[in-house]
Amino acid sequence: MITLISSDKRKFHVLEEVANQSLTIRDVIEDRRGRRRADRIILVTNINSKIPEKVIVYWLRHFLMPEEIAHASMSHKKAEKLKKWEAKFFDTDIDTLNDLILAADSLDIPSLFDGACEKVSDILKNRSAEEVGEISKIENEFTHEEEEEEIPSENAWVWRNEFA
Amino acid sequence: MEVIINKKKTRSENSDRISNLPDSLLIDILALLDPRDAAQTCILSKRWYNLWAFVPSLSFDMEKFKGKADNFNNFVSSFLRLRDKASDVHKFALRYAVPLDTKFSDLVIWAWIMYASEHKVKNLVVHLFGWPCHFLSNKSRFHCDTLENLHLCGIVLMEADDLCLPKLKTLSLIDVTAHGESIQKLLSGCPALITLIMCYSTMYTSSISFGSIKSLTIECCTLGGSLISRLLVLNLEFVEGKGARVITFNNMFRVTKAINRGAW
Repeated sequence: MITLISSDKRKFHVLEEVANQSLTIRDVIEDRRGRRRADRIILVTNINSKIPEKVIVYWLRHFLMPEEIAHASMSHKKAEKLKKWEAKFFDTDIDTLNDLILAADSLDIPSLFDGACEKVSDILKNRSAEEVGEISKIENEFTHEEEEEEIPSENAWVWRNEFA
Repeated sequence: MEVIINKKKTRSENSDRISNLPDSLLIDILALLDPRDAAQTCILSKRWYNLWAFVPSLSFDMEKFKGKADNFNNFVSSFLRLRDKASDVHKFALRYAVPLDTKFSDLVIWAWIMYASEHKVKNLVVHLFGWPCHFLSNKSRFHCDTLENLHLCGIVLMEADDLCLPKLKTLSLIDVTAHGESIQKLLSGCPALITLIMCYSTMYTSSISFGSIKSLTIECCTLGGSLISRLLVLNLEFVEGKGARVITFNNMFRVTKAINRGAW
C-alpha cells in the first residue's frame, strides 16, 4: 500500500500496482524498496483532494483494463465502453482539467496527460480569440491600439479569407 | 517523505487558470489543435503572442480551407516562415488536394517537406489526393537522418528517385504507384525498416527484397506489373494478408497462398 497525502492533508491509500501507473511514483517506490514503511508515504502538495480522487478513479479504471490488453484482445463493445467512460471522465470544467494536466505532468501519467490535453484543445478548437479568452479567463493586456491595429495587420496571414 | 510537487499557487474564482500551466504544457495543448486555431491564439495576450511558434507537431489539412489552394499555400508558407527557427518539428502531416492544372508545381510541397526534414522530423505524413503527383518533384534526392515513420498516400515514385532514410522504422504506402525498380530502390535506402504496409498500391518491379522487415502487410496491391519474378524475404516474423485480396501474378501466386494460410 502507498499513501498519498494531498495539500489539504487528506490521505489516500492506493495499491502499489495501481499507483505504479504514475512513472514518478513508480521510480520513487523503486528507489526506496526495502526501507521503512514511513517511506511509502508520498506528499502531493499543490494538489487539492479533488484531484487525487479523480486520478485514483482513473488509475483504477485503467488498472482493471490495461491499455496493452485493451488494444490486443478487447472486444469492440468494451473498447467503446472505455471510450465513453473516458469522455465522461474528462467532461469537467477547465479548472479541473488544468489541475489534472499539472498532476499528470508531475506524476508522469502519459495517458491521463494526453487525454486531458486533448479535452482542453477540443474546448479551444474552432473558437474566436474572444471566446477562448472568455472561457479560459486569459487577461488581455494588449493596449487598444495593439489589439485593433498592430496585431491584426502583423498577423493578417492567420485570418486572411477566414470567412470567405 | 518526498515532496513531488512544490509550487505554491493562489486559487481564486474567475482567475486565469490555463495560463498557470507552464509554457511547455501549453505548447503540448496547442500541438493538438489545427495549426490555424493554434496560430490564432496569438491575439489572446502577450504571453500567448509567440507560443504557437514553438509547436512541434504540425498537421496541415487543405480541406479545412475549403479547397482554396492559394489561401492554403500562403498559410502554410507563412506559418513555417514565422515559426521559431530553433524548435524541431516532430511530426509533419500534410493533406493536399493536387489540382489538375498544368501550371501547378509540386515544388511548393517539396519546400515544406524540406523544411520538416531540416527540422529533424520524426514522423512524416504526405497525403495527396485529387491528381497523382510525383513526390520528389524535380529534385530526385531525399535524405533525412531523423525520419522514423513515413506515410505516403497518393504518390508516384519514379526510378530515378533516390531516398536515403537510415533511421526509418515504419513505412506505409497507400495508393502509391511505383514505376520501374523504384520500390526496390526505396527499400534499399531504408536499412532499419521494420514495418512495411502496402495498400491499394501498384508496384512495377521484377523483384522485391524485404531485407530487415519484420512485419509486412499487403492489402489490395498489384505487384509486378512487369511480372514479378522474385520475392526475397529475410527475417520476416509477421505477415498479414487480408483475405484473398492480394492481386499478384505468376510466381507471386505461391506466396499469396502462403500469406493466406498464414504459414509463410
